[in-house]
Amino acid sequence: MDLVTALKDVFGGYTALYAVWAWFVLIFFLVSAVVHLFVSRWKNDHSQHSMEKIFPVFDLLAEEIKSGRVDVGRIKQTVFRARYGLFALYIENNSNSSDREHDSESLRVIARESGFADHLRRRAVSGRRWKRALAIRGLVYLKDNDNIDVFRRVLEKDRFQYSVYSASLGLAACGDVSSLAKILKALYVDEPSNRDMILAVVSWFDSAAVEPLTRMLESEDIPPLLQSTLADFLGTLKHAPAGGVIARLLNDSTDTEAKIHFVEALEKIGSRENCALIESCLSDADFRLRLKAINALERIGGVEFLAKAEEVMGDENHWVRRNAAEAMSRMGERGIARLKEMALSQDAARRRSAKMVLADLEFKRMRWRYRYADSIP
Amino acid sequence: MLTVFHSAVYISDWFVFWYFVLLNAIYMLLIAIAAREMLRYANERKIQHMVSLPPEFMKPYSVLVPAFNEEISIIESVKALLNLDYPEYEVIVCNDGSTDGTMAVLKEAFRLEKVDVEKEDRFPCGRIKDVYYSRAYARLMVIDKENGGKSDALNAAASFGRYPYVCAVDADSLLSEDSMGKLMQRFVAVPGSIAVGGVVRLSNGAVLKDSRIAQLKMPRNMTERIQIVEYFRAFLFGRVGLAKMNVLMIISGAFGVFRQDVLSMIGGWDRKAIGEDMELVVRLQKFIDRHKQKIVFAPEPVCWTQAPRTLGMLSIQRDRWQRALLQCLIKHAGMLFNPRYGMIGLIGFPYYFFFELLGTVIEFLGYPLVIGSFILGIINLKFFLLFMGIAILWGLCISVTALVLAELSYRRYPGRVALWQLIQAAFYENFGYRQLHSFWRFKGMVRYLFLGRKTEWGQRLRQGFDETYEQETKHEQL
Repeated sequence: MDLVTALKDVFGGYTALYAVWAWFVLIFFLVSAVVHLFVSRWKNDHSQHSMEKIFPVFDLLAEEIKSGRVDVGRIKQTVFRARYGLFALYIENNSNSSDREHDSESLRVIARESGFADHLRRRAVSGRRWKRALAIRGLVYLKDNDNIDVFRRVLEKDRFQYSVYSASLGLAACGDVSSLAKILKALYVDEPSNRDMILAVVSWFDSAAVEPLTRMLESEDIPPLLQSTLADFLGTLKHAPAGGVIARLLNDSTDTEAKIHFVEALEKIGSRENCALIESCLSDADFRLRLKAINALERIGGVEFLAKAEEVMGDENHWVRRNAAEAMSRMGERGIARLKEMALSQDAARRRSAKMVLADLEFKRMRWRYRYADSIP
Repeated sequence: MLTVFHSAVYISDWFVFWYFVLLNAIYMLLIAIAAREMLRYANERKIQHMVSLPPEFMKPYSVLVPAFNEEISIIESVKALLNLDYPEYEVIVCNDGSTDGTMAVLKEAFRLEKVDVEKEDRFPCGRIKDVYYSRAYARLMVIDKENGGKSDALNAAASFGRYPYVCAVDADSLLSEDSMGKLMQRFVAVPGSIAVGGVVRLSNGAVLKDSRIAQLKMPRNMTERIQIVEYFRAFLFGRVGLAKMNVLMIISGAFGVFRQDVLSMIGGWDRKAIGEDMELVVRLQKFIDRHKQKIVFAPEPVCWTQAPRTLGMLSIQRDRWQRALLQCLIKHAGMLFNPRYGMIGLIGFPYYFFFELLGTVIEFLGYPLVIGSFILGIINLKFFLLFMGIAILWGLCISVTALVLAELSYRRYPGRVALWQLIQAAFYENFGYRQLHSFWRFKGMVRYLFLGRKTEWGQRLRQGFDETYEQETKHEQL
């Protein structure tokens, strides 16, 4: 009975006291959450309504500026401090920020004359983390070369990944190729999870970036992951002078992931002088490299590699076999004829891959139909 | 004797109380992590606005759609899958010996033709009867096989997949147009990724147009509304929080992408698993431990699925989920507190074991225990009311926080009335639904432990999507 009394004392005493406190805390938390929920919904709805009302006014202003009528007074009357948030949304909706040729002149004029650009610049320097990053991103939409210094400063001083990324996009949108090395240095971090960011930024530079990137690949000691990312980009733009550098990297690299990207890049560049090197990858232990290699050989040399593809059809890995069969199907009549023979073969592995690809061919579901839709008749 | 009984009840009360405190402290931690992550994600979305990866960098994938008795919804689902905004992919539907007209409607709708192909021995699966292609829809492949369960169907479909990534999607689910792009971008972003999971949301009440969600509407049924809140809780703070700690043990079977070679290495989906999705991810987590690869969760790409509309259907689903959890945790029990598996062994697995699995038992037994203690006079009325009140309040707080996080997401239920209805659902959930839920899960565990361990698709009545845009427009006109 003593034990029961003792436990009861504790249970009914201190615990109850704590429970009362917990009640108050929870009720406070709950009310705050509900209020927050409704306020944020109201804000969202309100900003939606305001956008519907104000955007046509901004449209009109932009049209006037496009037609050469710049009335600073009217700009200031339309875009004032309380409407900066809405104007930021308007710019977001009306910019094509990846396209440097896209006409942003009218937006730039409004932003400059209304003080919106200065407001963003101030935030880009003194705002806190996300506010800073979003302000920098806002400046990117304007594609204003006057902001290059702001972007460069961010690259030098800021360590917040999204500020750095936004500034990199800004420099790319302004075509500041001289900052490319700094951009990559700032964006690349150990064990990166932002390979997409690096690719997006260099893609914005488009062909202007190929020369400096090739030089970087050639001369600098950069980590394999960054090497492979840059090779991806150079391959996509089919930058032939990069072929030699990428081939050298493929030869020297011990990183399988990077090698896969190098082979892909060489495949897109399509230089025949690298075929021997790519062929050597067919004996690699990693099946992913082997299948990339047979694809690349077919892309570069076509039917010339028919015998090699037939040999690869005996690979232990089904995926490599399938890719070899697909490669053969793209080699024209000779390749298809060999596939048809293999479809009757006693060798189950070869037969399966051949039959699969022949069926794909008949139903026009070859993968290059999607991937290389433009280049294949 | 009575004293001993009283003491036992008392100690149990004490245990339930502190278990409750610990569980909620962990939830609090998860909420804090998830809120931070969701805010980050909302801001990141603004930064990434208008920035997209050129299509050349997007990796091709095969969508695997296992189907069993899905004749009502399969056409809408497959059409939606064939219209995804993505440069290169294929859709492989595997009819797992359906006894309804699934195969017939597929043949008719997509003008399927039988092809002479053979399966590669990549993943173990049952006998395949026929394989079909469509001249009208070149991306589509349909496999007709003997019944063998969902894992078996997934393995069969994966055996025919030609792309390096596979995406498992339920046949009664719809993917939003840009979902795959966003999901696949994670593979490009994080080179070591072997699997990426997305968010599953409920399409109950939504209006469809051209096999897409045209308008989100609140379902009329309270059971469905409560499930909407449940899904928000599970995905927007549960999984986001666990993924951030790198201890994610489940990628929903309704929506997840995997690297096919890694799947192949671990033998694909376990055909004996009741919950093939969780079992697969747990096995992958074991794999990661050796090879330093990552399982990632992306909180934006959305897959829309239909939740059960009636309590009967729901009870079958939850019973199955609990059996799946129990089976998986028993199978991989060696991971519990095993430092060899890193964070997953030390945090993830214990979390699922002590809170997701044993939580059911403690909650189910806790109700009669607390009420009994009150009747026996072991706890007083004041404490009883305080404790029950805290339990309800805390549950509400978690649900409302999930709704706040959902407000940050990009597709919200329009109008303040809908918001209020969700808060109501979160409140009503505590009175009856939660207790029933606890009972179903407890029953599932008992069934698994004592009445057999059968693998099945889950005997649920199939339901189509609620309303098409045309039907909805007609209603509005009337």
